[in-house]
Amino acid sequence: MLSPESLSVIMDTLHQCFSIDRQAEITMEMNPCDITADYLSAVKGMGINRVSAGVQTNNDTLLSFLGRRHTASEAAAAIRRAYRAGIHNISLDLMYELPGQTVKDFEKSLLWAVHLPVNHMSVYSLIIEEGTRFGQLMRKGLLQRPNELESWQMYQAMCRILPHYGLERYEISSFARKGYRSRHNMKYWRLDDYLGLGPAACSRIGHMRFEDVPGIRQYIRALLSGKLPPEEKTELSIYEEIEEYCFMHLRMREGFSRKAFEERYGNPLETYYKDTVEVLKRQKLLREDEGMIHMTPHGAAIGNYVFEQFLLT
Amino acid sequence: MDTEHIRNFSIIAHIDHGKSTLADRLIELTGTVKKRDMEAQILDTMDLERERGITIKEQSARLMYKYKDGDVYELNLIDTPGHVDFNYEVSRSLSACEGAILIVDATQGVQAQTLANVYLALDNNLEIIPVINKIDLPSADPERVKKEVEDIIGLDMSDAIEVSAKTGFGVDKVLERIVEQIPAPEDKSKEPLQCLIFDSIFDSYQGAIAYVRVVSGSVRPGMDIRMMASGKVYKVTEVGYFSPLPKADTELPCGSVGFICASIKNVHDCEVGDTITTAENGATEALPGYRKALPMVFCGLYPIDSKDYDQLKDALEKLSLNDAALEFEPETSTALGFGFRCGFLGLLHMDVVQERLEREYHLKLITTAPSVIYKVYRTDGEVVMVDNPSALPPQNNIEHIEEPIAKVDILVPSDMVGAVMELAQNRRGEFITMTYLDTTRVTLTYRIPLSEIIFDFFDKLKSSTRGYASLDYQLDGYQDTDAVKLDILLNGDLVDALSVIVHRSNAASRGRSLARKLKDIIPRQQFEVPIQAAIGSKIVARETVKAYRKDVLAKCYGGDVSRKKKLLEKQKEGKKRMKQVGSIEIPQEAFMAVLQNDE
Repeated sequence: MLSPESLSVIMDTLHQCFSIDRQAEITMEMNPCDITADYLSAVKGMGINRVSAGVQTNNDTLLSFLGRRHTASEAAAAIRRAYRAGIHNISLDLMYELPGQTVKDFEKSLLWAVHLPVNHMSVYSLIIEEGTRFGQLMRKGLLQRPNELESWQMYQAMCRILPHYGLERYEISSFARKGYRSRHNMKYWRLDDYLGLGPAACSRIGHMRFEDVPGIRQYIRALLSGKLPPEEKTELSIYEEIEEYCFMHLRMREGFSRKAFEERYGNPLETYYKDTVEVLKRQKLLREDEGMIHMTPHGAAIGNYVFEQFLLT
Repeated sequence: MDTEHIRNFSIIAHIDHGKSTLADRLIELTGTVKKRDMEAQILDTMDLERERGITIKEQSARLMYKYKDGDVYELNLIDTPGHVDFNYEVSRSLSACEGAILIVDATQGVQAQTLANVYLALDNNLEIIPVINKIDLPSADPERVKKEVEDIIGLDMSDAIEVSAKTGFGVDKVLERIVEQIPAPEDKSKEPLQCLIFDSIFDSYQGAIAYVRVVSGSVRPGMDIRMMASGKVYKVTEVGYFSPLPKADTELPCGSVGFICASIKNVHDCEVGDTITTAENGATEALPGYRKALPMVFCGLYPIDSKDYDQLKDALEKLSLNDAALEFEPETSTALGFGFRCGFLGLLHMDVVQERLEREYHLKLITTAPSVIYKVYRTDGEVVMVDNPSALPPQNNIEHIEEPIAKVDILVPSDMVGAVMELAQNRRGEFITMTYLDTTRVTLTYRIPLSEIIFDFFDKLKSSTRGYASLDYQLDGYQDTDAVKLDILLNGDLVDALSVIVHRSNAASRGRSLARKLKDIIPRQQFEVPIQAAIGSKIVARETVKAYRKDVLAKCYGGDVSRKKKLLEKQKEGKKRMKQVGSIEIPQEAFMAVLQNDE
């Protein structure tokens, strides 16, 4: 965890280099264990007004399996502490499809989480990748993951329970109370420009995508020698950008407007996607309301199929 | 070169007994190609041939060899295709020779194609020089193999040459023996021109080029020639020989082997087995043995993307310029759209054409299950040849159906006879004879419906005999059969490209196993897909491919975009091998599954 002093240097530098909106959403990702009263008061003073905490689940067995340092009650206490410290914009992350997790477990997690003072949640299914510790266990058959039906029931539980408690699903995996959508995350899905700083950080400016060198040592070495850290630059072709425009926008409940698309790319959607939208509408995977194209609940559940249809190559 | 100093020969062998390797050594040893230019197996020129280690197109080479008496001899090597599908081509090549080198593998001994090839050579009255190859291998047993050849074929093996084509050991003796033992061609230089076409290739500048053996007379540029089967007349623009690359010459004299260019539009106008003579005062009779190359196996070829139809048509036209046995005509399928019905000599030929279309012309194709030609006698007295299951007339219009039968010779160690018999019986085989070649090996002869062996019979034979069995087959007429059409319905719609003609006795069980197999092959879609198998109006099986309910990337932010997009692209790429039929994605395996009846 960055010390308040270091964080302060970063914040000061940002203010020197940019003029920052007074209402800006400034989020800090924190582990529940690190959310102490002292730290909170320090960061709040620096203008940080939103905290995002990787809580994951309220099941202590699953938490230790995931290698997290906190317990469920510690996490709950930390969230309440942050709220009491005056940070009222709190987001937490939950996970489902964890090995050994039952549908009941996950429902309990959801109910537990909605009773914490949070107004934003990101809910992800666990993806097990080759080469990771979980990947190895999986290959050896040592992980019992929820079956298809259970995953589906978890997904449905998420879609049903969270809105019932006032957290609207505004993106595939994101839920927020009115007025508390993550402004930062929306920039990605709307293909706005954004600047990422730090090792492995990504930026998008115009048609360019930048990726800073991932190694922290290399990053620091470059800065110490007075140079900019190396970055990988990619220029997106118009087609690549259009693909991303569509499938990133479609992640959001609101989708995207035909008009905005046409203004941005100079041609109507059909120039690039003959009958894609019509076909998907017929399959009841997309809907169009007053020029806004968005996914139906069924479409969102099998979003990968919908996204794939928007690939041009 | 006078005919006295010409020797024309082929090399015959079972597949993998070292035919191409020996050819390479002969070419190398006579200095026809400098050693440093030798590419392994230079006679197999197509990439595909080299990869699969088989010869498809024949190649030839003229080797100039200085015999120990100081005379230089012209040795014409005519390479032969090494697969049962191309039996007719082999027989034509052999009839262009006076002799043949018979290679037998010193570790494997006599195999089915050894026998088949020897009989072909004997039919053509060839002088046979037996060669035992691979004697460098530790498991080589030349004495046993010699005895085997004597016992089984009756060839005198006392002077068989032991060689290792790989190391070059003994190959010089082979050259000597070619000169000593193979008769020179008959000198018929004063007689009217007769050239036997034993192969042809297509060249985009020269047109079709005939590979010929000059049997009588001689041929020079400027001459007017006539194809005796088609009657077409051409002017010779160039003649030459192979060294092994083509080299132009002033004349192809009597007895020699080489090529003739005469602005022939395509290979169909210069068919293997045909005789070339002069346009005026030509030979009155063609050389014996010509027959049209008849396809035996048919399948539908469809572009996965219907936009590629014209490209597929072009590609097939180009391929058929060089492949007289390839037939194709447009066909439409309600499921697959526009495509072609293509006829092939056999499964290997089909595979090769399909692979060339994909590799050389970058086409993505769906191949329907191969079918044989059924003779359908209709109640109105008409007889129709049906090579496409969906073209089978309705049951009540059929009087009876006949199917092609193959006579199959299988050579197998005697302790594996049971396995082979079981397989042959499962394939509706009719047992003919069983002959003990020696104490350990047996030839089994069966008559088996061609439809039962075209697909995976050979694979099954190999696996049930641990690779020991070898096989040779030839067509043996038509025979009554009680055949019915088995249809597949996906999502309630008949998919004509999945229909298959099967024997009534096992139609229902085939239907059930096919439905089960398709259930595993057809990927789950975003909706439920019922699979039904039907015979006529009767549904004999039903399975369901369940819909998938959830598949969505949970997490996707700025930094993830490119990685996540790759996942989507991979997902899309996987579907490119599939054909969209209605709203269902069907992978290629589905069209092949209809032929696997390994229950």
